[in-house]
Amino acid sequence: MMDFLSGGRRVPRGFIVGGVLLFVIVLMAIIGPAVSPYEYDQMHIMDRLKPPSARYWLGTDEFGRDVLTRALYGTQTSLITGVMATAVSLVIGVPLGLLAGYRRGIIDEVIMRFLDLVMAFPPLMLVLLVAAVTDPSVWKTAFVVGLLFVPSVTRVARSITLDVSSKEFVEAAEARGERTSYILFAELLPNALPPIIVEGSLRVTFAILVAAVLSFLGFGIQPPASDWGLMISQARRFLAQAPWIAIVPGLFMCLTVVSISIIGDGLREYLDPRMRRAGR
Amino acid sequence: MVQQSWLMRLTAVLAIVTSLLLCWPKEVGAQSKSTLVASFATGINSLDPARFGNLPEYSYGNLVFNALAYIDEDLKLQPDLAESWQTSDDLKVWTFKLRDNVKFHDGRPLTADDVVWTVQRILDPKTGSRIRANLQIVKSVTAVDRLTVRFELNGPYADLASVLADYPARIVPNGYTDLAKHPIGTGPFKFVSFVPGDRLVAVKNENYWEKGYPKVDEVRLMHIPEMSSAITALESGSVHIVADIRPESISQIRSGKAATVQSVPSGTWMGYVMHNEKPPFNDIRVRRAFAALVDKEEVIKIASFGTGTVTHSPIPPRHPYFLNEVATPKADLATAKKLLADAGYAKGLKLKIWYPSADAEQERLALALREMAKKAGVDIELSGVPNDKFYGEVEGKESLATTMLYGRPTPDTQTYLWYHSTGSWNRNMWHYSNPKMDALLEAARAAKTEEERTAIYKDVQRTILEDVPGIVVYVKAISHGVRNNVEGFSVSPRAWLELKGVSLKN
Amino acid sequence: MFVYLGQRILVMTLLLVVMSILVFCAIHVLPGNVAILILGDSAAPEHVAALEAKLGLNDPLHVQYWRWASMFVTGDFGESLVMERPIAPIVMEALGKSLVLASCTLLIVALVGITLGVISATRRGSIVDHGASLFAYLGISVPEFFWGIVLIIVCVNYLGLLPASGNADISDGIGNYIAHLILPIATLTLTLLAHVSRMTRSSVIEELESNYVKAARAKGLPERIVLFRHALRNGLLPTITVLAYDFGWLIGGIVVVETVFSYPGVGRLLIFAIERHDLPLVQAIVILMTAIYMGANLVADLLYTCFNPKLRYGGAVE
Repeated sequence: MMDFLSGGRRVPRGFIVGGVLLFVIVLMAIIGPAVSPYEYDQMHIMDRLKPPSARYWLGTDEFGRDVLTRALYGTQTSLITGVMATAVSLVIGVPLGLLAGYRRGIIDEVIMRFLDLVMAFPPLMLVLLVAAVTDPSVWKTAFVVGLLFVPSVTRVARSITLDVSSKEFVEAAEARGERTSYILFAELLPNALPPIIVEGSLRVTFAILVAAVLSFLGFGIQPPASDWGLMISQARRFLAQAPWIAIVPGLFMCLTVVSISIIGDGLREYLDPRMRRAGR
Repeated sequence: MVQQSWLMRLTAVLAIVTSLLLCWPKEVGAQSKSTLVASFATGINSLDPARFGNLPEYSYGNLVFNALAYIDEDLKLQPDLAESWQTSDDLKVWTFKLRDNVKFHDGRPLTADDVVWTVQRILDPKTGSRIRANLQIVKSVTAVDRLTVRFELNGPYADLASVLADYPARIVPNGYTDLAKHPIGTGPFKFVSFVPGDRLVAVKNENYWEKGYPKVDEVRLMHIPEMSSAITALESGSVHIVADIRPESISQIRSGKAATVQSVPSGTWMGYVMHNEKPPFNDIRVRRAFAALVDKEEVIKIASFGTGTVTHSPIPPRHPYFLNEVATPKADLATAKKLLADAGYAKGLKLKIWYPSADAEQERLALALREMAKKAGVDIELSGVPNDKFYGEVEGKESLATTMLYGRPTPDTQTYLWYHSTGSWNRNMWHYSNPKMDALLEAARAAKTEEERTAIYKDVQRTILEDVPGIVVYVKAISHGVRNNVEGFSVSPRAWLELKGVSLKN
Repeated sequence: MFVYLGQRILVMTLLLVVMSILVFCAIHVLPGNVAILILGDSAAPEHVAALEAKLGLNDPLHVQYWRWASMFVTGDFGESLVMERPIAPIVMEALGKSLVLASCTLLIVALVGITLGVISATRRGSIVDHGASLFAYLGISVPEFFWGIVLIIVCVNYLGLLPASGNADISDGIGNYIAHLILPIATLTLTLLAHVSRMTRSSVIEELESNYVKAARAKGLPERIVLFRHALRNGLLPTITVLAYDFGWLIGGIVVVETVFSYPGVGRLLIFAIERHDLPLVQAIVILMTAIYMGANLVADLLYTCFNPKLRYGGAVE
C-alpha cells in the first residue's frame, strides 16, 4: 500500500488521498456543528440510547444527545489539541535543536543530556501525574502533551542542522558578522523545514491519541464536553445496549489519524528525494 | 511456498489450541466445594471494621464479624451477639447481656472486654472511624462482668442499640491491633486472603455460634469496576451475584435466562444541596421556588431510569414514621416564578450546580434540575469535578450541589446530624439552622413511647418541607443481579449483602 | 562497556530520586487529602486533624519525604495509608499480573509481527502486503482502549465467546484462565503489531537487496536458505531492539487496557492510589514502573549498540 500511495507523477498519490480525506474531515468539523440541528449538549432525554435513525443519523447517547454532532465537536477539540500540542513542541523544540546543532560543544551536550533525562521517564506516567494535579482543560492537556514531544522534535532539528551548518552560505553569513539568531532562523531553519514538517505531522497524530487516552482515564476535559476519549469512556456502561456511542467517536478518530498519517508519509516520500538532491 | 507451509503449520497449531481452550468449562463452583462469588463495582479499601465506608466493606463485615444487634429486612432490630438489652428510665444507662459460648476465629471466647475495646477504639480519633460522631453520646463503656456491658451516655438516647447495629460497630477482639492485616471476628466466615483491586476470600467458620449457618463453604468478593463485564460474568456463571446494578444496566440482563434482577427501595437518598447561608439560597423564598419547580417523577425518570421512589426526607418511605399525608406535588411553575420575582430574581437567575463527575446518576440529577429550572428562567451551568475535589473543596462551600447519601439505621441517625444546627453533616452541607428543628430533634431522642416519637418525627418532616434546607428527591432502588441457582438470597434495603443463609443449587 | 553500564545505572538512580520528589510534590498539590478520604466527607475537622497527626501529615514536607525515603532505600516500602497493609506484597502481586500480560503480548507480537513482516517483504506489492500495511495503519490510528472496546462488543456481547474481564484464578482451570487473557492480550497486540511488522518488513527488504544476498543467490543457494540464514539473521536485529523498547512502553501504557478489562495489575493499582492520595503506595508503584521502563530502554540501547557494527558491515558469516 505504501508503494501505491507513493506512486504518481509529481505529487504522490498518498498526498492526494490523505489530503482529500483530511479536508473533508476538517470541513465537516467546521461546518458540521453549525449545520447540525442539535447542540453537543442538547438532551432529548426521552430519546436516549436510540440507534441510528432518520432523526439522529448516528443515534443518541445516554442523555439523548445526538452522537454525530458530538463526534463532530470532538473532531474540533481533538484537531485543536493536536495542532496546539504540536505547535508547542515545535516552538520549543526547533530552536533548541537548531542551537544544539549549530553551536555544538557544551551547549549541545547540555541540551541533549537534559532531553535524555526527560525521555528516560515513562511518558504516560509523567503526563498522568501532571494532568492529575492540574485542572483539566484543552490548553493544559495540549501544553503537557506538547512538552512530551519536545525531545523528538529537538533531535530532528539538531540532526539536520548538524548536516547543513557546514555549508557555504552559513560560513558566508558568519563572515558577514550576522548574529546567531539570524543564522539560526534565516539560514538554517529553511533547510531544516522539510524533516520538521514531516515530524510535525507525525506528532499531530500522537498528540490526538495521547489526549484521547488522558480523557479516557478521566484526566482530560470533563463532561459534558464532547471529546472522543471521554465519549468512549462514558459509553462503556452501555456497550451491550448501545455500542454505537463508543464506535462512532472511535471511527472518527481512526479516519482523522489515518488521513494525517497518510499525508505525513506522503510528505516524507515527496521531500526525501528533494533532500537527496540538495546533496545531503 | 516454503514460507507458506511454515505459516500454515503455525496457523493450524494456533487454531487447535484456541478451540481447545474455548471448550473448557467456565462455571465456577463445579467442584465438590461450594463457592459463592459476588462482585462489586467499588473496591474494599480497609479490612478494619472501624474504617468501613462502602458496600463491599459492609458485605465483608457481614461475613467475618457480628455486631451486638442487627437490623433485618423489615427494618426491625434483632439480637445478634447481645441476647438482650435494657435501658434505664432516663434512657441514659444501657445494659447489654452477651451470648455465651461465642468464639472468635482464633478460638478465644467473646467477653464484655471485647465490646469495651471495640467501642473505645471507635471513639479514639486516631483510629479514623466514620461513626465516631454517632457514638459521641457515649460517656463511658464498662464490662460489668464476663458477659455484661454497661453504657453510660451523655444524654438520653433511645436508639443506642440501633447505632450499635450499624456497619462499623462490628465487635473485634480485645487488644488486637492487626485487624487490617489479619482480621479476626466472630462471624459465619473466616478471612483467608485479600488482593486489593481483585478479590477477598473467606471460608466457612465450622464453629459458628448460630447453628445451621453458613450454608456455603467459601465466599469470594470480587472487584469488577466495569458493570458490563460483571453482568457478562453473571450470565456466564463465573459470578453468582452482582451487587448494586446501576439502573441503566438493568436492561442488559436478559431476564430469566440465567439470572434475574431483584430490587427493593433502599435508604440511599439523592437530592439537591443548597447553601442556606449564601445568596441566593439564604432567602427562603428562593429555596421554596426551587422546591416548586422540581417535578420529582420527572427527575426519577431522568436520573434513575424510573427505578427510584419519591421521598421528601432521609427517613425512608417504608418506615413507620414516614409522613405519608403529603401528596407529592407536581411542579408548580407559577408559584416558582412568583417566589423568585418576590426575592428579586424576576429577570432570571444564573447559577452553577456542582456534582462529582464520577457518579453518572448525580450527573443526570444535575441535568434534570437544569432542564426544569430553564422553564422558570433560571440558567444553571453544570460543573462536574473529580471526587477528591468535590468532597474537599465543593461540598458545603458552593451554593448548589447534588448529593447521594447511604441510608442510616434509625430516624435519629438519619436526621440529627443533618438538620440539627450542630450536626457535623449539616455544617458540611446546607448550613441550616432553626431552633424549632433543634428542639424537635432533641425531644425525639428523649421520647419514651412510640406514639410520641412518631408524632415528633412527623413534625420534623413537616418542618423540612416548610424550610426546604435542601431538596430530597428520591430514594434509590437497590438492585442486585442474581443467578437462578442461588437460593436463600433476599435483598436488604441497607444495600449490603447478607450471605450466611445463601446456598447454591446445582 | 562496563563503564557505560555503570554510568547509565548511576544516572538511572539519580532520575528515580528526582521522580520520587516529583511524585511527592504532585500528591501534595492535589486537592483534598488522604485523611478526609478515609474518614468520609462529613468528618468533623477535629477528627480529620487527629488522623492527620497520626499519619504524620502535619510535619514539614522535607521531614515527611526523608522519613519515607530512608525507609524505602532499605527495602521497606511502608504501609498503605488507606489499607493499612504492607505495600510490598500488594505491589509485587499486581506487578506479577501486569508482567504476565506484558510478556505474553510481547511474545505474540514478536511471532505474529515478524511473520507478517517477512511475508510482506518477500511478497512485496501483493495483496498480502497491502493488506498487512492497511492492518498496520489501523492498529496505530486509534488508542488501545478503542480496540479493547470493539473486541468486547464483538467477541463478548455479540458472539458471547469470551469473558469481558481479564481476571481469573489459575485454580479455576487453566483453560478458563487463558480464555480471560485472550482479549486484553489481543488488544495490546493490535497496537504494537504495526510497528514491529513494518520494521521487520523494511529491514528484511533492505537485506534482500544487499550485495551478499545477491551473491548468495548467484551461488545458486535455494531461496529458503537465503532467506532464513542470511536475510533474516541481520534483518531481525532492528526488530529485536524495537521489541525491547516496546516492553518498556507496555509497562507504562498498560494502565488503559487494565482499566477496560478490569485487570488487577499495577496500572489500575496506580490509578487507585492516586485517587486516594495514598502517597507511599503511589511512590512505590511509580518508582518500580519507572525503573522497569528505564531498564528495558537500557537493554534495548545495549542491544542496539551491540548489533550496529554488524549491520554496518552487513556480514553474517556463511
